Formats: sequence, structure tokens, C-alpha cells
Amino acid sequence: MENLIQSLKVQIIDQLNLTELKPEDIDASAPLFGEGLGLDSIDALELIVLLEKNYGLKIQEPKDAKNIFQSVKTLAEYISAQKK
Amino acid sequence: MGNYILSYSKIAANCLWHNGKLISKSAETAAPSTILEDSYKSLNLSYPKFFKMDSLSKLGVLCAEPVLKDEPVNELFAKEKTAIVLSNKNSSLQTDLAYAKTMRDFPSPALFVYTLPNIVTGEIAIKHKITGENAFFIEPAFNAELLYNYTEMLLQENDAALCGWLHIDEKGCEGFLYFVAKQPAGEGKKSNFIRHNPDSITNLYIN
Repeated sequence: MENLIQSLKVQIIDQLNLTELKPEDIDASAPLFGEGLGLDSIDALELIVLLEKNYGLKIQEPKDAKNIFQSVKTLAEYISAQKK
Repeated sequence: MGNYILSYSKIAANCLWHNGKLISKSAETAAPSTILEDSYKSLNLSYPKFFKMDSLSKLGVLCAEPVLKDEPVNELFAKEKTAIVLSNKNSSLQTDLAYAKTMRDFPSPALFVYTLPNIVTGEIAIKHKITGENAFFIEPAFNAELLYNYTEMLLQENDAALCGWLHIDEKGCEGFLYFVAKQPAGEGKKSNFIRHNPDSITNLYIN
């Protein structure tokens, strides 16, 4: 799980052009939207692209997205659960 | 009483200038992206959204920053009565091509939102809370007459306007923005202001 979280941090920085951040600057449990990284709706779409491109995952139920994209940790848990 | 250019900036030949003063200088061989990054650092900006913007928006935001933060401009003009009038020759072509490339695989939402030239006017307006009207003209070359005529018309109902030219492609970038106002903001500084006319605009652009 820790490796996946680290990979996700690097991928998020790359996909969202957060070039001023380093992976260690991102708190895995901090909110991705609003506070924390302060991502916006376009970033949410980029995260959906990231999931599909890098992990072959599509979120089937839009209502689940809020929980999945809560933090890097919840994102990693979702990916991990889907891979089982 | 005529209109005056109160402040202007340029990014050209690897340098960022504000009112003729050098702010930032990049290496002769620097790529446009490096010039923009060097300018960002020199302006001591802390604006995370900058890094998500396309190159055209970065160029516009960087050129606008010293002009709109300039003392008379920042302090004396109502943001709701300030217009933005920009122009270039390539529209948003560089971003359009980058987006087209992603369409072969996974279309990028972050690139898609920048596939219009007037997004840069929005980025400048958001950063500086400007809510006046705006326009973006596509012209084969810098056209001082067009900018002058359109701005003069706008100034009949607005107090001020940020105007200019923003060009960027893979070879280089050229930004020139200037702030025009209905009247000099402060008699004591009047001698520093430049009369707004096509010749003065052209002179500032060339020199």
C-alpha cells in the first residue's frame, strides 16, 4: 500500500502539473479538494483520466467518486481493492 | 483630456521588462517555458494555479502582474470599470495542438479548458478581480491601430483598460501589455505618463 501511495503522489503531481510540489509535500490523508491540495473540478476529471490510463479503472457509480477521491490514501485503497 | 498609458510590460528576447526596467533575464538559448519560469521567480509570485495554466495564459499573467500591481494602476482604478483587450496571431494554437495529441489516447480535460485564446483574459481577470468587459483579437501581426481604436471606444464607458499582444509558439514568446486610463492618476506623476495613440503604442512595442 505504501508503494502505491508513493506512486500515486508522483502520478498526481505529473498529471495535474503540480510542479511546485514534491511527493513528500503531499499528506496521504489530507483532503485532495477544498483544503489540502486545493484541487478543482478540472483536476477531478484529470484524476479520472489518471485512474483509467494508469490502472485501467473506471468509476462505475458517480456517487462513489466523492469517497474515492477523498485523499491519496482513499484513492490507493480503491485501486488496491479493485485489483484483488 | 485624452487617455494615457500609465504602465507597460514586455517579455521579449529572453527578458521581462516593466516600464523600461529589466526585471528578469534568461539565458540566450532559453526555451519559452524557461523564460516564463524565470519571470515567475523574478516577480516573487506565489500562485499555484500558474503551474496548471497553458503557456499563453502564463505569458499573459506574467506580463499583467507588474502592470496591474503598479502603484497608480492598483490603487486608483475600479476593477469593475477596467477592460481587457488582447490580441495575437496564433490564437491558442500551441495548446490546441497539444490537446489534439492527447485525443489519440486520453483527451486531457486540463488542456481542453485552455483551447480558446480568451482564456488568458479570464486568468488575468480572476487573479486581479477585474470584472470589466474583455475582447481578444486574432491579427496577422501586432496592430496598434486596432488596439487603439477599440480601447478608445471602450474608454467612453469604462475607466481603464489592460491591452496588448501575447504571442507564444515553440520557438519563442513575445508579450506586451499596457494599461490605459481615462486620465492621469495623480498630477504629480503626469510627466511619466504616455499619451495613448497608435504611434506611442507602436513605439513601446518596438523599443
